Amino acid sequence: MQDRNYWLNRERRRLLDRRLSRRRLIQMSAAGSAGALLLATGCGGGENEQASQGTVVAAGTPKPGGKITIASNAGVSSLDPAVWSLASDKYISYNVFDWPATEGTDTDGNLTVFPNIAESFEWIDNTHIHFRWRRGIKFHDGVDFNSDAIQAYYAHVLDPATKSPRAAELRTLDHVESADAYNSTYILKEPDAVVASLTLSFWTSCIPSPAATDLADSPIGTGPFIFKSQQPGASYELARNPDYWRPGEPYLDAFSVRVLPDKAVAAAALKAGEVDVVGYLETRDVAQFKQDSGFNVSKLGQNVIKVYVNNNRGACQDERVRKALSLAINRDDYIQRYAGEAFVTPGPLVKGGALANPDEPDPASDPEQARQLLAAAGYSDGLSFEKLFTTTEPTDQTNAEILQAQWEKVGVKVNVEYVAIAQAGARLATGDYELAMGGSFGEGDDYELRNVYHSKGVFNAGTITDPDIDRLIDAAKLELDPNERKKLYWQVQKIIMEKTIAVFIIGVPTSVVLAKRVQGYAPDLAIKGLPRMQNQWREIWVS
Amino acid sequence: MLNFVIGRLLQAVIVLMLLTLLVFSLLRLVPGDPVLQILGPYADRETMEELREQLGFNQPVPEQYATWLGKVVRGDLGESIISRQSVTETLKWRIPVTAQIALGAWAVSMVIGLPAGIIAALNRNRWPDYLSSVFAVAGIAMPSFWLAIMLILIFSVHFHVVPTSGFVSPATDFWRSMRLSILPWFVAGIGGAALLMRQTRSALLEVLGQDYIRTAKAKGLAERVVIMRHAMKNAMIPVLTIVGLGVGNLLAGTLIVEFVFGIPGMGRLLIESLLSHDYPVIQGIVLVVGICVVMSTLLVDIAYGWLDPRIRFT
Repeated sequence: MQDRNYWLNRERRRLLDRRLSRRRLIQMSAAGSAGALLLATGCGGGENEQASQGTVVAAGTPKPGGKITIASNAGVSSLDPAVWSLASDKYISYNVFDWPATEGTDTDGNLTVFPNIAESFEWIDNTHIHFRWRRGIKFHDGVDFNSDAIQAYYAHVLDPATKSPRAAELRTLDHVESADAYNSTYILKEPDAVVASLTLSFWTSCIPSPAATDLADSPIGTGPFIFKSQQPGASYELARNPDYWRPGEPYLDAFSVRVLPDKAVAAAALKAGEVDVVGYLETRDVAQFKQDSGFNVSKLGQNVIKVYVNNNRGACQDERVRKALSLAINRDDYIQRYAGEAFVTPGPLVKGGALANPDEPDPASDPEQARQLLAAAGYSDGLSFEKLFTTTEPTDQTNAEILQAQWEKVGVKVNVEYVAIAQAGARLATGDYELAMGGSFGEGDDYELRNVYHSKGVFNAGTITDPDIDRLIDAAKLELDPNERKKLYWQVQKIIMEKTIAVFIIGVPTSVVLAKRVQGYAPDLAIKGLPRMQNQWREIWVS
Repeated sequence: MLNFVIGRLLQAVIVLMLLTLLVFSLLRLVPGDPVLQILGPYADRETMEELREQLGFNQPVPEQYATWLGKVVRGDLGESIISRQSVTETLKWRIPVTAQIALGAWAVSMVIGLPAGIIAALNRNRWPDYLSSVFAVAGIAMPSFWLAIMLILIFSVHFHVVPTSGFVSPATDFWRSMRLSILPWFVAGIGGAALLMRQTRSALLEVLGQDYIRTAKAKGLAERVVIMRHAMKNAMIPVLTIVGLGVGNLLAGTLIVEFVFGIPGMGRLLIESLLSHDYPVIQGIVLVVGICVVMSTLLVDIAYGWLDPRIRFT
């Protein structure tokens, strides 16, 4: 059956690579949307079904105008892209700034790079990356975007006085040289293919105006929205950039961000119509909004629930014990708990992610085999773990309780210890645990694989030592072709699953609830053929 | 009196130093790594060590404390490790936000608590007394975060009388600021009102049983004059203790209210800083709150002398 969004996606891809007038854009979008709706209606699909499957929430023709309010669970750490460090910073920064390019997958599922303010990007050799910059782009203060801005930004980042976390993240970047106004070369200290994804990305490479004097309070970028004002820690106002370099975008006249740390209050504000978008509600609240015809629920990202196993301590040094822990889990119980929305994940490279291996089998559930393996390992009378630690988040607590009950059926007893979420990462990094349960956001990217499974990873701390995994991850760092790098990670995943280095339970989509009038939202997942939205609201409109 | 005040201020300096030393030490003992917090998924061991050195975390703890204390004496509370902004500058705009909530809550507790306590005392063992007792128990027992959400659901979501949450400076939009403050003031003040009501009732009942009150009534003075001129002044001494010591509780109460209502005050900043291990900010807030508590206790002690001339400052 033809992808019901085929026409809409095809138009979007064409439009990204061409300059069009706003009128032409709207005409073509109308044609595409009409076609998509026709197909959707013909196939029996509705708007909410589209939303829940993680495709674009869209009904009707994009129209300019209107304002929305987005809820954020925390204030902004800094509006200076060289300094920011909180996930909540993205609501402002990803809309005020642009970055060189966006990674994603093409329609064949291959990793690809969608150009943004960089027109092209290529490896000259394994320590030199060449960027050609797009012409005709201006910052919000009228300054032209060119390689001067690139030079200024990286000089600011790499300046020790800035104490920029970006400098630490880009530690293999030595400096940037520019041959002329629209050509720059990034020079690395050592071969590092992985750092290229950071140099492209929203996190490390949002480019500010070189003339800006106070980025921390007045950010100036080339993005679809201009920063207008703030009540620090409470609300932030942004207005449409009328000179945005993508013609016809953004559609919204303005949007504001309201800081509502409490999830229950955010749900109340959404219900009361004070905010239009909330991406951090509890699962039970999301379920209630799904029943409400005044709202759409779409996917935001994915969370992989897993058990980190210390492979070098106690009973888990025996591969048979680790396999038994995985076989003992009834994943259907978890899927039921998430109202059927969760899915079994075949390892760290989660289904639907950019690095996913479609041929990797799901982990099996077989409690009887689990008992046999434990008996063979010498634990026929049962096995006790002193503790499994997890966070105090309600979701993690419930997941741990389910796991505790399931393992008890095969004779494995475990005490659960709850730690504050702010301390969980540090606890992992000490390696002082037998078992730890938690989730991770994203699709298992280069950094997660390296930091958790490589023997020198920050979160490894002596818990996993596998020379083959180390060799493959080191090779991936040198592999310039992203699709070949992906295949190396597939081999890493295969080893992890064959040896049960960690126990993977399920993948859980995280959800965003949108007021019905908010249209054009696409989830921040690797949708084939589309660049990732990265919380940039340029394609959002209100009906 | 001047000697008394100077002596108390010197004591306050020692108390504050001990307080900051205790907090400084405890923060370093709590599990968690601010460097990991900052770098997140892009951390690696060499990067973490570099950033730790940049931020001074690789120095011995006593040396870190001495460095921080040296800056504090010069009026510099350091720099946030998350935002890289000056802690002093950050607190300068956060303190008025918390003050707005705290003062409003204090006013609510006084406006409700004092009259309720007087009415309860004057109507002992009658229905106004019983009603006040129910109110007092409810006010003390109800968790403030639960009460906040209940009030939001009723008055904001259901009746649309006030907004759910948020903050606007009075200078920007005075009436919207007041509308946004109504629920936070009530939630933050109701616990204090309940305590104040109980204390006022007890203190007034004790005073009303005194001989000089009977004498005043026998002289034919109106009840209102007996209460306000003779009884209240003496009853206020223990009540003033509650009010003064309640400053600490008030600031703690605003912490929850600020978090629930999305108010960008010191309390919410403290929670966010604790979660992100932003040590300089936490230390700065503890110091400011410590100063507030110490000063309020001093003001209460001075007020005792005004209320009761028999009290001499030694």
